[in-house]
Amino acid sequence: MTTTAWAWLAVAIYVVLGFLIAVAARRHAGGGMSEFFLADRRVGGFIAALTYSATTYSAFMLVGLAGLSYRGGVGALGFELTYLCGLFLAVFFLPRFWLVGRKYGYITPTDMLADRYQSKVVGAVAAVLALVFLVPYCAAQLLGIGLLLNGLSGGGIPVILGILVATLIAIAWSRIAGLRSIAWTDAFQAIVMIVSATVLVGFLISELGGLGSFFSRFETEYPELLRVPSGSGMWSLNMFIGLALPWFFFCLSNPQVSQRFFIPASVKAMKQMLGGFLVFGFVYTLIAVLWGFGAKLLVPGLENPDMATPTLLAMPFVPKALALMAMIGIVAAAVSTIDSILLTLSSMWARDIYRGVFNPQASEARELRVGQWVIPIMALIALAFAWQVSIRSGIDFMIAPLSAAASAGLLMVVPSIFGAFYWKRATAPGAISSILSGALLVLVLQVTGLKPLGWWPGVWGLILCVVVFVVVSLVTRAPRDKAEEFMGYAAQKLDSGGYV
Amino acid sequence: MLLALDLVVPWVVLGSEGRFLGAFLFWVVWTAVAIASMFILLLRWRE
Repeated sequence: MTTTAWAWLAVAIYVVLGFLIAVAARRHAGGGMSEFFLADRRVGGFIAALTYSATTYSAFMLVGLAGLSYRGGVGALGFELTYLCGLFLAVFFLPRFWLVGRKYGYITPTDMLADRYQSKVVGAVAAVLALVFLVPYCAAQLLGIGLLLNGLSGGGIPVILGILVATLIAIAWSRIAGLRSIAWTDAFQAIVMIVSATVLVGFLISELGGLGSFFSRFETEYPELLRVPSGSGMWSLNMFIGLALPWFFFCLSNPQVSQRFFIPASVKAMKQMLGGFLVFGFVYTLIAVLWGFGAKLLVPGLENPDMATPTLLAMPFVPKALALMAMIGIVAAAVSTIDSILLTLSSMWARDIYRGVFNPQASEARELRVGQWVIPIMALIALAFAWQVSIRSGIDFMIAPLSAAASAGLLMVVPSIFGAFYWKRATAPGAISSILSGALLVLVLQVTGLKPLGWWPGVWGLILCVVVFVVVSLVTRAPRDKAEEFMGYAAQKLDSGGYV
Repeated sequence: MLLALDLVVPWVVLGSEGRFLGAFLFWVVWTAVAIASMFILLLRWRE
């Protein structure tokens, strides 16, 4: 069999297994918005932990983070582990989201903000922010799949075909039973991701003579990559903070992740979701960084560090089966992120924009239909974006900054989330103006490449966002009654549940 | 405070250490401690 045929066979097995799981999930599905977008808030701890993990970790880990480790060394580990430390925020906010989500029936995190601030505009603005920043991020994931399949099939699978296949899978798995089919397929994909990555890095370490030999060889050949800033000039403190700050708040700023705070079936499931994710994330991060270090030893001198993984997988000493398994693991990481983003964006479109602004009288059935139809539309927009970038190198200037700006841009909703739970004086005008001003500043800085005083766009955006949020809230009228009720309910339940 | 240590120790104290026993080990142990602390907090949650 040719390399292309093997690659297609591996993709076919993965797709068939995923479809069987998605269809099985449909048998348990009911009707309504809560069922379709939140699996009726009845997801068990094991599945919740795996869907949280698969949604959070994309193809970035074994391609981008491995590449960052390859080029910049240990700073990449610190940057990614700082994100995991940021999960302290989830210890505070996960129970809060979960409790108020059940009490008030919130479908999206932006739905929660709209109700708390008593303004549909807050929900719509936050939803538009997510649409603007997450669609290019989806496109970048699709493009990554296209390039990976193209590279590992020796050019046999055209980039656009890989993009198309990934788009169709993401649409199908999210349409079949909404979050239920996504959660189940995510669980399958998370297992594929962690098993394939573990086997892969185990093979790599054994190729390098075991862990001791690997470490000592790396220390001898590349000691500068174990320092910060690294010898390659990467990981100045400004760069580290610029990248790590948006990542630190990732669990709150990214709606496809924070929407999962609504889904655990019980307190026990909530604990298992967070605990399981922490273990998964820690192991997966170490694997990705060690993989990047191993690539540095085995295929040094690559001009583009993002090619470290594809180049290493194509080396003759890597068994074909292992390379294909790794390829599917990376595709799974990307698809599980894309379909979750598509579902979250469609729920935000239906709840916060369509019902919130355009048709407040819409029935739940109509709202659900709108949400379901938005899934393929969003997917096609992302596909068109990825396709254009793949054929017209001239517009890659758009996708790169927008993707990089995604985490920094989404960060601008964080002050409003903090305000919702901790500041009765917070207001809707404060939330709206802070989100808009911060996001605009991030976009301008990202597109122009400006870094005033050496600080990155996310840092400046967050500073402006916090200042505007506080100042505008202080000079406008807060929804006192709602704030008292919302925060009072949360405080009472948090007290009785042993939460911090 | 925790974030400050996450930056100060690798850059100021261990920045020039070109071995795995430097910033690499610090971040791994630091995160393991953070995760253990999170487990202690979340295990207190009850129905």
